[in-house]
Amino acid sequence: MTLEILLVDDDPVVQYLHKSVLLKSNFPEQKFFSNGALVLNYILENKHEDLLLLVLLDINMPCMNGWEFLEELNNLVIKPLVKVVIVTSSINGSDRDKAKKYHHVFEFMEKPLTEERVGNLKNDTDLACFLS
Amino acid sequence: MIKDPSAYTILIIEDNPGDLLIFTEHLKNQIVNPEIHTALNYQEAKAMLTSSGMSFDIIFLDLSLPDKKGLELIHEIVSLSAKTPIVVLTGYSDIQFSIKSLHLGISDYLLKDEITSLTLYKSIRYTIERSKYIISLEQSEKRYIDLFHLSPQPMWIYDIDTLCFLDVNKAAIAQYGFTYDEFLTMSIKDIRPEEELDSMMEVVNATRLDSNRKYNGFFKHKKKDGKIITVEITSNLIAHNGKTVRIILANDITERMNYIKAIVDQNKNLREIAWVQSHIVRAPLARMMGLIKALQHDDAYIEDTDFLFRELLKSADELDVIIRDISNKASKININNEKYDLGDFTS
Repeated sequence: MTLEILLVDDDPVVQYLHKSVLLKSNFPEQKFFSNGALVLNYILENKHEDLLLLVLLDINMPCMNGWEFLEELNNLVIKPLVKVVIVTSSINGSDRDKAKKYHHVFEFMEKPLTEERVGNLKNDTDLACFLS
Repeated sequence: MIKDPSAYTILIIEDNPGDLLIFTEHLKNQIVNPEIHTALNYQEAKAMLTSSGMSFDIIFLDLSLPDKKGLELIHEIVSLSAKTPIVVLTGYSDIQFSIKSLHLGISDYLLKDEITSLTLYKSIRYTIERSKYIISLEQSEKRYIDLFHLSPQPMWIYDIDTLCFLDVNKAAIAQYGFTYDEFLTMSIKDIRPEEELDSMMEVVNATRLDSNRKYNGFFKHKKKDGKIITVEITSNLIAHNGKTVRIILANDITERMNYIKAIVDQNKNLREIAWVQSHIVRAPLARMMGLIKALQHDDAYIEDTDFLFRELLKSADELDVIIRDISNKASKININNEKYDLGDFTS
């Protein structure tokens, strides 16, 4: 099984910062998407059963926002193992509560992404073997 | 024999001095100290009954006086008596007429030739007690009618078969703008907007024979001026003049609904503000925090610190624009646009 990290954010500066934080934390290479529709297409074209996808997902994006992407993900019949971390500027409790309703979501992080926050992902049992 | 020590004020209207004397003796045989007033003709009786400060426990009335007699006399004395019980004194020749007079407001009749102290005393006691009882019944009935008519909450009674109004109170007249007489020519359909008639009939039919009787609900009603109001209805089946009817209590809650709507709208605004704060305002701020962290750590991975400074400034400018925009929008909203009279909640 292989791990792919998908960074989904419409803000290029945020993408740049996320990339540098992940690089410092020794995370493998990432793929970048600027909205939910693009990352959904990528998942549809690459639904191998031996693929583990770690998605760092922004909420507020054009075309298809984070919530809409999560709805579409729920509707997929055949899908690889997808684990979603929401990374948002929102500090609104209702967004945090809403995120808990999606079973793909296992983490909720406030921006900015820090090495400390990213480091916690290495404690996840599914991810531990890929991240050192 | 023990005489009755109670105080009685008695008026005897009798023109025959002999009858008067015997009658007075009978009274004194049973009552310690009766206060007896006499009138020898109608004019004297009228003067006594209309003079202020005079009130009687009972009136005895001979049916043939020199200046008035029979039916006319009864009518006059009944109307002057102000609910004081009247006992007619009669001879054998007038007995049929005396019996008939009972439904004209006369309490009892006594045959002059048969009067004894005991029968007279018994008539006095019975008549006064019964009169007190009737007056208290009337007062009780009046209290209940007042409870309906003077209630501050709009109420009416309608016929569950014809749906016509049978009675409405003053508060309902004030609330809907129809007069009392107009209401009595109308049915409950006439205070509903057209589109509410079907749902009204459903409720009317469902509750018509409801043995549980009580009903509560919210409805749209139409006033005389065509204005639509929201009312909270509480209703119940009651007996009214021997018929089962429905009594309705209709509270105008239009104002209250407006307050609730205003609160719901405000909550929506607050939710929108919370969303804007989280997603629009905090986005450039979070970016700035990330950029500053990157600069602070003097990252070996970051090739171009100028780029970071440029982006930092751009984010700061973006944040400035957003905050100015919010401030402009807020100044356009006149928050104290509406004043609500919610009573004194401050104390």
